[in-house]
Amino acid sequence: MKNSLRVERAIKNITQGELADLIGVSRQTINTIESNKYVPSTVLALKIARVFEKKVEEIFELEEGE
Amino acid sequence: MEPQLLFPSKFRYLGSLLAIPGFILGWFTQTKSYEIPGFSLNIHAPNVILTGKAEADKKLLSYGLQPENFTNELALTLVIVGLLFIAFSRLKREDELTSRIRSHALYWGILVNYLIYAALVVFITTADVLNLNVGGGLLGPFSYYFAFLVYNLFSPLVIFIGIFCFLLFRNKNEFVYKPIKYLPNKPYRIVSKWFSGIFFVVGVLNGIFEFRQWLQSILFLLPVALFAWAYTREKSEDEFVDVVRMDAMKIAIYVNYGVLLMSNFLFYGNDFWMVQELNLITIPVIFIAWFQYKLYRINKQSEAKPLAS
Repeated sequence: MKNSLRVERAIKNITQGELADLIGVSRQTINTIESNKYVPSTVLALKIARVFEKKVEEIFELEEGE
Repeated sequence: MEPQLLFPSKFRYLGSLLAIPGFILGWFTQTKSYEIPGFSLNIHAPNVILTGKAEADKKLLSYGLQPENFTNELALTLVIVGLLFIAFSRLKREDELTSRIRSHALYWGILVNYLIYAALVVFITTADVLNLNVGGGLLGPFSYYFAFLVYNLFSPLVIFIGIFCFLLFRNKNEFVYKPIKYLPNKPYRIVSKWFSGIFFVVGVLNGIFEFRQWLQSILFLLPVALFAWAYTREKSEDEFVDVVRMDAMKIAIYVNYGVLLMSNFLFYGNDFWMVQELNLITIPVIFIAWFQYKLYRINKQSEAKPLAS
């Protein structure tokens, strides 16, 4: 699964740390998700989407073959 | 996915305050036979559970109640409780990924611990067969099978804490997270199951009928077979099964150390070490039992409540 978290953060102009604080996780967790090494739970994905006021599938999408 | 069954984060410091003095005290009791003066009670009656009542009564009549010094019990309690606090207290910012990494570290820690054990069993057995004098100190304190029983009291927790810290702090910006690899279901599940069964039956029958002395060492292989069993994939392993698996391992560790702390105060001397031989298999046995029971329950529930059509 890939995500556009980094782009969305740039648009909203917030740092990893600020996003982490908004949804109550650690900064490293946001970084691990951004680098596609960890797939967040549905709850966490929904919380992230809520911060950016977008639908989950606009931020996270399946890669080809998944 | 809120992290469950964890202590508040301040317990980490409390844990170090308990574990470090515990290790120091333990080291002095083991190497210098240090005992806190006067820290004993005359309670050391022969144990009825392990020797049978008649034998225990006979010993009691001839020797009377013996004093038991509680220094080593105190040291072990400090170490175990301290390490449990360090291992299972929340991080300052605990989230789903950190608790997942904790579960993985736990799984790896237990595996590494028993790989060391397996290597030791192989080494000591070969040395025995070849009549090498390993007791003379080729591997120092590791030359004795018995030594592992001492280390096994705390080594799973120490290895786990080490791996957990490595995964969290190796990289300042991100966590190290990789899915765990298991042995394939075929043929390992069936093979490990059979070996566990055979080792258990042969070991127990030999214990009762005393066929051959050397056959007794087959029981030392039982933990290895049980671990192979615990580390094989289910036929269909998915995310959910993985969560159930991790929870089962956590429960196994909690129960194991709960029982260990209790046995620390119920059994003394040689009796305690006999219980510790059982301790070698408690983690995989509780894990397998809990994990399989949970899967059974989940299957049962999904059969009982079919989706509304």
